[in-house]
Amino acid sequence: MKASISSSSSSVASKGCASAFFSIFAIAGLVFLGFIVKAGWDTVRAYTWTKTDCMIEASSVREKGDSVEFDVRYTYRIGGRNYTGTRYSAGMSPSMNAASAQRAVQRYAAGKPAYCYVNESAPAESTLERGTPLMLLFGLIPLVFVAVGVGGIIGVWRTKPASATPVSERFREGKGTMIGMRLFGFVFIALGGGLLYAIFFRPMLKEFAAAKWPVVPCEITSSKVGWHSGSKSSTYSVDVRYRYVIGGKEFIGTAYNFDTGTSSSRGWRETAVASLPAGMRTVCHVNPEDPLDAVLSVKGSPDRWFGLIPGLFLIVGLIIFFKAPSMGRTGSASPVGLTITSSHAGLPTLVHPGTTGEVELKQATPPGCAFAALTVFALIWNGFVWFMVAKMKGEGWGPHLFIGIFVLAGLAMAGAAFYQFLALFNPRPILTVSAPAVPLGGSLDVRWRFTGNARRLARLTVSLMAREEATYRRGTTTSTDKSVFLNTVLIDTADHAQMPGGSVKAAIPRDLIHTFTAKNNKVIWMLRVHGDIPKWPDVDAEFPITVLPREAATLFHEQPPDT
Amino acid sequence: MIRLGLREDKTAFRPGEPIAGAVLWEFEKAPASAEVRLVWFTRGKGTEDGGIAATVTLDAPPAADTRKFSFDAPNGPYSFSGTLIAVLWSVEFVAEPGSEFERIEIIIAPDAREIVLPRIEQPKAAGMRLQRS
Repeated sequence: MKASISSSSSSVASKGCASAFFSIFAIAGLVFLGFIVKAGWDTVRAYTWTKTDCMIEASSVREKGDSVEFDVRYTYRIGGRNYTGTRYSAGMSPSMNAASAQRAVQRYAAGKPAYCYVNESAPAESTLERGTPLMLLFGLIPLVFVAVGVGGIIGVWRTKPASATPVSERFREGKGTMIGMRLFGFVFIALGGGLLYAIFFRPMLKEFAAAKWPVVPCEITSSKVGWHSGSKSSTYSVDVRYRYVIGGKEFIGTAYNFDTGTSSSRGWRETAVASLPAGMRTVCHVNPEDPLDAVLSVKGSPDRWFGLIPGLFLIVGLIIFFKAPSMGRTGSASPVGLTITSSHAGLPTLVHPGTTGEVELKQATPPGCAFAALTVFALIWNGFVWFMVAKMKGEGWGPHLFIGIFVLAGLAMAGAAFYQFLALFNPRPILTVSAPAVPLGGSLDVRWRFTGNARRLARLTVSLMAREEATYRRGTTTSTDKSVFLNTVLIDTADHAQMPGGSVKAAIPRDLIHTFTAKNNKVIWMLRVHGDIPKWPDVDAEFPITVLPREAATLFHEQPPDT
Repeated sequence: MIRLGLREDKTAFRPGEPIAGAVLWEFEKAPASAEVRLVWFTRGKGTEDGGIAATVTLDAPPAADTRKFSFDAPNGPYSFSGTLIAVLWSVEFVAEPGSEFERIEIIIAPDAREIVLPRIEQPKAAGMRLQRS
């Protein structure tokens, strides 16, 4: 008998769609990579140029719109001829701001000698500074996109139909996959961690340090709310310029506070700019070790908390990085719900998980979990929806009706969270069984009791249940289907005297399947406690148990299963 | 050409029973490696899971040869068929390079019979009974 296994991606159409998807990654990565390769080449090329004496003829800071530039002119002599250069930096280097431009003016003051780097094969080409080779590491980012795109396309077209490959090949450990996943995770970690530091932690650390900086009189020379138009929305910035004097020398500052970047929040920026009109005399905080490092405010902006968003990338990256070994394996998992050791080549051997004797079962979903999850979700959902509602003041009926659907969904979530909150006050069942695991055909002594007032229950049911759980992906969603194949009621009582506690024997049928726990497919055995409480959320708790193959019966000090 | 066979053409085993057989192959060139693997895998609604329970590596495989192999049927997972999930076992011969292979599907379960799970009718139960191919 030969197994025939259907392939989900065998059709040309699905391969075409997958290729188009991966092409987007590859093309975006290649375009970005092209820019970085060009800039990288300029950077590396400058390191082959000859270091030459030169004389600075003129240098100044020039304001160009909202930005600041450093203008320089220098002369040098090569092969008996004089040349004039005006390039400050060649290749990849951080963008110029007021502080770095003023630093450049200090370093390359007019009339001072300096070194410049000259391309000997074209002596008219020269630069004062060379780019930073470390910035070539940015090339790793588009490389990952290219690798994902090209690798994905190759994978789509080279993958044979499942029926044409050995089943066992799909479950061998994929070392290449693991390294790829780790690299992918590392990029997320580097990007997320770097941005989290730059946008959130660095400004905060600077604020702590700046609390001790001296306060210096300064004069506002210009201020306005900067407007930066984007493809979908505009962002704003505090564009302020001020001058201050340190040690008899005048400096120009452009930093309002330590936060970086722009955002769509305009309100606080308008307030800040209104409080800083041109000509106003105020004070600024100046770093005593670097007089070019100055700010007007040492308080964080209301946008600061958005700086935590890169933290999500960091968390995702860490998960991918550390989960990579298990991602590299395709679905291999322990076939039973016990500790597994391999005696040789992956053969699962059953090992007893702990001591024999009575054990208290753990509830599948600990009390309060559903309440906590629903509350967090409802808060985020409703917070976002009501923020949108507040933003829609003055809009017509159409948008309000549309957002109304989301408002109703949010209210339903809040209602569900409240229902789970009430359930927190239910009596809680505690189940104890006579052994940590039981073989098929064996039996378990089950004892139950409640914490809290069990007399509130109108009816109590304890059942032995078993079900299949299959997890699968459809598009971007992951779903789990469940199918119960055993539901035996062990006790069903409305007698209030019996409810607070008691015991019952659970016989495990011998002709069914043992507990089976793989990555995507499971067979779960459990004891389920259901208690009706009139006009209140019911008690409904599941306690997984471990059912072993029949052959494991000898591991336990109990009656072997009936044969 | 590959021929994979089990002793007495037996394809159903109890846990612990020996799974013995032989494999014959004839290739143009000697394969770099040749293995007989005992593998379990799932079929059904869920994404496929599986694992290699045991491997017999055939040392220095020539271009053509016949070799015997033997495994002990593991204690689990049992071969079963449910509403959503089925677990199947196979003995596979795989030669590299080229992923030349041959497979025999077997049953490992008590009484050497696949376990068929009953279905409890529920209002919202999903899925259909799985059929072995």
